[in-house]
Amino acid sequence: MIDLFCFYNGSVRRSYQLHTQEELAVRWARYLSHLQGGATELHHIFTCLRTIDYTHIDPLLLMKAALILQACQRCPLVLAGCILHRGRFVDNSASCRSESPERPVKPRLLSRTLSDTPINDPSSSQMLTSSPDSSLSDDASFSLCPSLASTSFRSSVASQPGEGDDAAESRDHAMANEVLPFEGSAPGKGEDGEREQVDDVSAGYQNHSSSEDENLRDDEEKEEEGAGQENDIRERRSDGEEECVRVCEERDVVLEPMLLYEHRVRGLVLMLLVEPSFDTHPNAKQEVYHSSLASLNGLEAHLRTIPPPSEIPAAPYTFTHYDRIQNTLTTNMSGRSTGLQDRLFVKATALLHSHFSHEDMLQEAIIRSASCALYATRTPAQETFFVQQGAPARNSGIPNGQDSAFSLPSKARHRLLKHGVNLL
Amino acid sequence: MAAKSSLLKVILLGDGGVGKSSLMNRYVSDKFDAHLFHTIGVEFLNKELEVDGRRVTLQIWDTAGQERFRSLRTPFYRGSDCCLLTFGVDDAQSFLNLSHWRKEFAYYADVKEPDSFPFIILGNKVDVPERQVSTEEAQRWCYENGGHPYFETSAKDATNVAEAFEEAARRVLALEDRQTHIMPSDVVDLRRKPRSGSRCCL
Repeated sequence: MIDLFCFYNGSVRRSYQLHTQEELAVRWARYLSHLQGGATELHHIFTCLRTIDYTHIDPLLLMKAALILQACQRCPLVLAGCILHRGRFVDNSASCRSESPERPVKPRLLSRTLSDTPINDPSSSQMLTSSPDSSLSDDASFSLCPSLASTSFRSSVASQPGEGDDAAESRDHAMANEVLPFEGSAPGKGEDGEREQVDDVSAGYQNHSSSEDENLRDDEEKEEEGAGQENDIRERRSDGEEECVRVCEERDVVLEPMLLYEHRVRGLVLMLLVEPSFDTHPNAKQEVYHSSLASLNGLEAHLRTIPPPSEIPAAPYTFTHYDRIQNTLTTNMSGRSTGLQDRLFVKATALLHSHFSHEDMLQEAIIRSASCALYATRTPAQETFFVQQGAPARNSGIPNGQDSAFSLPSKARHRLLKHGVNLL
Repeated sequence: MAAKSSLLKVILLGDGGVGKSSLMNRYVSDKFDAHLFHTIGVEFLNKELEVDGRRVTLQIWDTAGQERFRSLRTPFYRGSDCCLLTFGVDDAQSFLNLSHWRKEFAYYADVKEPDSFPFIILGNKVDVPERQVSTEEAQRWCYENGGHPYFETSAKDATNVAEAFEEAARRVLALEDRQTHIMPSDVVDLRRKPRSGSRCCL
């Protein structure tokens, strides 16, 4: 429930600074009733997010995915898109209506996942045939409330002078203090941060906040769609729509009609948010279809050869890395079931993180029990926590030179390099 | 025999930039885009066609020509029924590299008898006025390297593209027919038309 709260409102502490207890009580009650309603679409949003483990994927394939989306966005009616493989993100991108659709899309390596979960895909039995079906969703317009909720949160921050110096700061808090132990919202926020950065450097943004909101909306959309690959997408979407209407009805926002274009090749799905006129445009649909078909077939063929996570041995270490500049959180924890070790890791991480936030001069720390040791390091730009699994259990009593805890810093540097984390 | 699946896998190989993707797009979608990016890894499109009264589906695999994509493309050579070795008539080096491509294909596709495997050679970009490889040179290479059919194509203005792919389908079907003919069978296919052997378009 806290996860859900943070997703809509940001940090709990911050929310209580900005809103009255009564206001927030209403929200808590809403989330509670929502969760008590059983597993819903929103539930799936929080369970489907995974951080990327691209140590097993050729980065060129991520680039291929990015290029597919870029090709689709040559059609100016395409607003945003994402590619999912078996319910996990391969890549996503967004353009802004006010912007040139030619904006370069870079692969999102940090916060999205490409990992395989074995699912019984009925179409797998067809050998080497691609699905030629491209379908356009029905005409119902839709929009997604989490982003709208963010909008109102953000505007309420801005409307209180002196109080909300900047929204980014509040998100940092949300991530660092409350969200860290929950894999649900942190990666999404990181993603936003990263995308904002992309937006910032591109020219022509008159209204940054609106583009940001749009980006957020795209994200939520993708997360929603990633939720239950095995279900019928359109059906789920209309459920989600009702959900949105219900949650958003009290907010004074304008909903923008859009259509969803989807194209499936076995376990691979391309989804694009398009302008309503896409459907009636004489050749937009054909253009998009033809520009992506061969590449999607190819990408699916490539991804099919990547072994499912069950066949990939688990890494003998756990880490989490928070990048303040890009506003991203990276970890290799998600995507597998969490055990006692992982809970201890989260606990120790939370403890050391709070030390870091209280003591500006603290740069490195090792915390250990008889059985394991956690190494933490931070710079103004990043914070990293690392634990080695299965270390010999002879680390008790007064630390001596043989204590394996002392080799952790160099192990962490070495191991994390292949995750793109540089601890120099 | 008649009920046999008629999905034929043909694969386009050749140096980067000779027009493999453009040939596939021209043939399947009848489109030409002068600003295509490098292909990363592999891509494919299906095209249904009828050759000599038989319906087949050509599955055309387009591959990345650049050396750095080698490890991404080679796993997909296996199972190919025909290989279209492509060069640019405006690019002498791409012509010289044909042997390399044939070797790479035979190795990774694990072809049992490379000498009888159906290769077809495509000299693309005949629309470009500055040629570096003459028709005679190319034909000589095809003759000396196993008598492969040679087509001069232009994906840009659609010259000979359909003819080349149809020939690929014919070659595969002819080979299959020969193989099924050798195998003991008590079924006689009355619809099968007599086929001439190899045929060159130029």
